[in-house]
Amino acid sequence: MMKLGFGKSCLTPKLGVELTGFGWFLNRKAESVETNLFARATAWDVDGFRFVLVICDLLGFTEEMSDKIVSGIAENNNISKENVLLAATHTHSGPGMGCLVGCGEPDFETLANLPGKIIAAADEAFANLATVTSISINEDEFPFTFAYNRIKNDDTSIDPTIRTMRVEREGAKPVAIVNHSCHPVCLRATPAISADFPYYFCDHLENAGFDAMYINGFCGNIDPYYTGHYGAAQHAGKLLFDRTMELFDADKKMDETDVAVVGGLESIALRHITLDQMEADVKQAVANKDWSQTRALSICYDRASLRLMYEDDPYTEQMEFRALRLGKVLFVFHGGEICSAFGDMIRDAFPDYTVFLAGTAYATKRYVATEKNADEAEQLWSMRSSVPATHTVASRSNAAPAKSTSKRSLTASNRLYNNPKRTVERQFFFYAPMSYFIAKERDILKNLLMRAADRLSVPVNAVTNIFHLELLGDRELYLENHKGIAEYSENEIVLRGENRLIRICGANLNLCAMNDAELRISGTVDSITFTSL
Amino acid sequence: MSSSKVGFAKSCLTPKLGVELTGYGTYRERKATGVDLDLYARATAWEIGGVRFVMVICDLLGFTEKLTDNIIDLICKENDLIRNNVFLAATHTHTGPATGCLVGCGEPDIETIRALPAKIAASVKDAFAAMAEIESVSTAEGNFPYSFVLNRQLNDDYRIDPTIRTMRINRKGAKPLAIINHSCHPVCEDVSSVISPDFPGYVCKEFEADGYDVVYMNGFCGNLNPIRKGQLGASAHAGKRLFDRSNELFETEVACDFNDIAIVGGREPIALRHFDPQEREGGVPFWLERDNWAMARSFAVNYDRVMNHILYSDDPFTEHQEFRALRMGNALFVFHSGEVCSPFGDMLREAFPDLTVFIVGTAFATTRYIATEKNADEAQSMYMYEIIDHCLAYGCFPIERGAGEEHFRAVINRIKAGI
Repeated sequence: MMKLGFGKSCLTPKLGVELTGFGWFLNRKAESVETNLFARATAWDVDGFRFVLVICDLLGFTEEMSDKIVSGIAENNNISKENVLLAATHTHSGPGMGCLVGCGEPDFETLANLPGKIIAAADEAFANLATVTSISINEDEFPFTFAYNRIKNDDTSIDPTIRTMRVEREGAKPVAIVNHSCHPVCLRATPAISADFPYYFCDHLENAGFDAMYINGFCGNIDPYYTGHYGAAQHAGKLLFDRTMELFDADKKMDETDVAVVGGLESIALRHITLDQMEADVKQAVANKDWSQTRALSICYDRASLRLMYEDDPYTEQMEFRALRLGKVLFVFHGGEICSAFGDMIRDAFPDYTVFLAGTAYATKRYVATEKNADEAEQLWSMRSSVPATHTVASRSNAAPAKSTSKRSLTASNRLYNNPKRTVERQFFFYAPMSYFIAKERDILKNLLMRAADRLSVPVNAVTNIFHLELLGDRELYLENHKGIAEYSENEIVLRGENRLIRICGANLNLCAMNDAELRISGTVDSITFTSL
Repeated sequence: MSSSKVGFAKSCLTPKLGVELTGYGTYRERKATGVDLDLYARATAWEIGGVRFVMVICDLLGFTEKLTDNIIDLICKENDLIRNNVFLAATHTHTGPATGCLVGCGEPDIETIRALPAKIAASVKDAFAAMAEIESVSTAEGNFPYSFVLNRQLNDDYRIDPTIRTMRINRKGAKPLAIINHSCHPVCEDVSSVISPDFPGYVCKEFEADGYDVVYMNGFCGNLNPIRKGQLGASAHAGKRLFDRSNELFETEVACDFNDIAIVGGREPIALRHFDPQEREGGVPFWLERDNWAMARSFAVNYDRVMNHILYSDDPFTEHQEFRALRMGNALFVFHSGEVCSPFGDMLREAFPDLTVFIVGTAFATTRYIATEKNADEAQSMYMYEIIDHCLAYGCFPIERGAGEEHFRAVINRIKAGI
């Protein structure tokens, strides 16, 4: 017999706590609550085999907090720690968690209370077990996805599909468990507490009569298109919900209910980097009078030096994972902010299963990127930061000078993006002490949990330099990866894209902002046409 | 009954040139350009009535908790000892390699630090291998009329460590062994870029020239400095003064029943002040506004350490300080962690008036200053306040006012019960 219980508890911190996820020492304190944050738990009993999935609207956990939560859940519910699958949705509008250096200072009281609240959700789920009458699963593409690969030059895909599980229960609401991958950063660096799009997605499901759980996948390199305003999170949540409902309509009943769990720690090799290199970076930051960076790098240096002095094997890190097979479904929870190519690897390794991936599980100590991700990210960040946020276009066309910055230029994110020193290494460096050291792909592959040696090649889709166009109603157009302006007037602007001319017709068209990669046009857009070059 | 034995050995700890030296903040990049005298770990290994124990004194500023554990674990493993029978301390020289105890006061050289446990453990192994039968042990204690020490808390009552304690051990077929104990910051060399054990190295040099194996144990010197700090030849001068006075005291020494021993040790809590880490964070903009990047950096790292301490400690406002006491006849050795101020030495001596009390500071993990309430109050009017009361350089919280006194009362009670 199979039983499933659902529980959730509110994790919303008090106003005034610092929020986490963007840049160093932004002092981004919560001024309002856009949505509550929750821990959502599904507790399972399959013929006496008990396990629980717990997903929290948080950025991630430190090792200490992860251990506290897992131990507490295991102890309260008399299950093995191995049977506790814990992950965060990775919202960047939640409280500082201590995972990152300088990206939101943790509030001690908030963190002290979190384990108890999260454990309570699991306890509630076990207390409310109801007999399962059917499980249906599905997996399919997300054609109108809101996610894009933020490492633009990367030729790996985004997370290509949505995975759904629908569980009908006797005398209780059906439970929906849905898995996709995208950074929950629709709100960008706002001072509002929010679970971002996962909240709205779950809210839609709840309104449709479900107990809902959104499991965020390997989203290290995946961002939402729509960002910088509250509506973006709602929009993304709705898109995901709509597609999920379509998948529910076509889902297939799963009869197999055998269950197995495997998990533990696997090592990952870290690059050898000297403290001299780090000290040189500190000095450069001092010379630049960039205090935020100086402070963050100094802390990173301190933590790394302690580790190098006292760890038996400072260049190896242990990452926690758990894989649970339930019939034809495989749940894989893995530590770290993982790039999507590894999700592809796992799915390729288990073609006969519907694989639900959860990133930022257990301790979130670092990004885990492929070698290609890392190389190309470096190129991307340096490209982005090579020009100021506002930029006159006079040298490129006869257009009028720029009037304003783009919507993306929120104060906080500006500080992040305009840092000329920013490279992918700084991304890792958020996770000091040793995440300054980037793991190399070959080491990751060697150690990755599934050891799918015969399936290590990641499919490659060439999308290099493809342009990306966003339209806000008919009022504003945003284009990334443009190749310049071919023609410009109030009624018609012709832009160059990769192998395409993009003709925008309308009224009062105005080039608001432009840099080497991005531009924004305001006015009334009547039509857009594409012409092959 | 088996014979009682003691062995002596030393191993060189001198780091390579170029490493940063420690002891003076912040971010000075004081890199070693020369060697005045070598640094050593000096070990005495004992076997008395079947009990084996070791005392190791290193020419270093101090040890972190991890480094302490690594050293002691290795010593125990190599010599089949229990932790309680390992007495480990540093002389607290400020012209040795950075060991990671202090924030920004010299960045540790990783290779140097990782090599230290093996080097220090080697001295212990060699000391056990060189054990010789003890023929006699004698002790002495007397004042130091021409002391080179001053109380650096100038508005205090000028009290310094009032005496020198000596122990002389005669061994069959081996050199006599001298153990000298007094208290003073080894900072005669001041902010020099030359590696030196400072005056303790010169005391030992004098004794070695006189035919002794020797160990200098530095006492509770948190508030004590040498008068001639920074002057040419100050270390040699202080070392010679100590040597001369010790030799005078040898004339007054009394026999010690070295076969009568007892060891007690462990950890005792000390209460930390409930301190808002934001106070530390406030130092960042304060120093930034004054264009002092080094101080701002120091405060930033400090904030990070205290914040993490609060986040991950079950009881962040209690710290456990390690101590070890050995009574040997009429002598009592007390090793205590931290940079302890001298009034606590007075407390210990007063608590054991019938014993010659050898007091050793910066033992085990050196995680903070330990000041009396009076020390802290009087330090407020001067720069010492930030250092001594707030333990800024150690990246930790200050202790509660009066917690040091309470802690040492508990330590004394433990020692009384155990010896």
